[in-house]
Amino acid sequence: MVHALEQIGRLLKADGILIDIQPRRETALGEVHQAGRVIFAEPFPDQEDSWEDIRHAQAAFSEAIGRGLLELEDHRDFDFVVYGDSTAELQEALEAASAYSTSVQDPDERLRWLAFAARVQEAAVSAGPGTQVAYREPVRMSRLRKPI
Amino acid sequence: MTVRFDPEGRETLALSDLIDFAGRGVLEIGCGDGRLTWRYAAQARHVLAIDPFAPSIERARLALPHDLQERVEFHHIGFEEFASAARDSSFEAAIFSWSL
Repeated sequence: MVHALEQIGRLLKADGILIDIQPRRETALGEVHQAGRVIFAEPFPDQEDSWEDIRHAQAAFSEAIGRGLLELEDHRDFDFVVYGDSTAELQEALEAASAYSTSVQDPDERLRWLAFAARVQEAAVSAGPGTQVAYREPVRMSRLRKPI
Repeated sequence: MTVRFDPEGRETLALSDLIDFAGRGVLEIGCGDGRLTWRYAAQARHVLAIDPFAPSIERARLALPHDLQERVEFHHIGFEEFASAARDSSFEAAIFSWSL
């Protein structure tokens, strides 16, 4: 990761800007919305692995900043939300966009994911018509600058 | 209803708060199907968007609006491979997009 940041720094012109968009180490949720309100929310299963990836990425950025490759200037935190009619539709779209990989190989993890998706879908169905399911992920967008 | 990504526009708002793309040559790393690219490309001088996932790049190329065809290029390539062949100081801006 530090090597990738070195390469980005090399490709940027002096005073060039890097925008980094990454999930925050906070709980991503599966939600059910109805009439503009969240009527069900449950944390995604097994998020600790992705949090570990985020921690490594943050460490790499800290190292790159510490070495003077980049300067951190500003950031914005927000929730990135994706809506769909069903968990199956949402999962397919997220995988297609490479935004979230649910291609879980571990059988236990896969079962936990399927059970989670079933609970969200059940909550949507039992709430009646007019529901949407949603994926909510806390995100940080940062602006860094290559020093002159 | 089709799937809707960030219909509230929070990502676009954050991006426009943090950078003015006007006149900049932009490298977007991890562009996927171009979902984010469409939100800023019209302001940039040029966008070179890369992703190692071939189906995403194919969708991005198919969806490329006519008025952005002179301005946006999509390439199916990983960043390491791209960077090894790219010249120093080629871009005024880069976006490292959801690419942990």
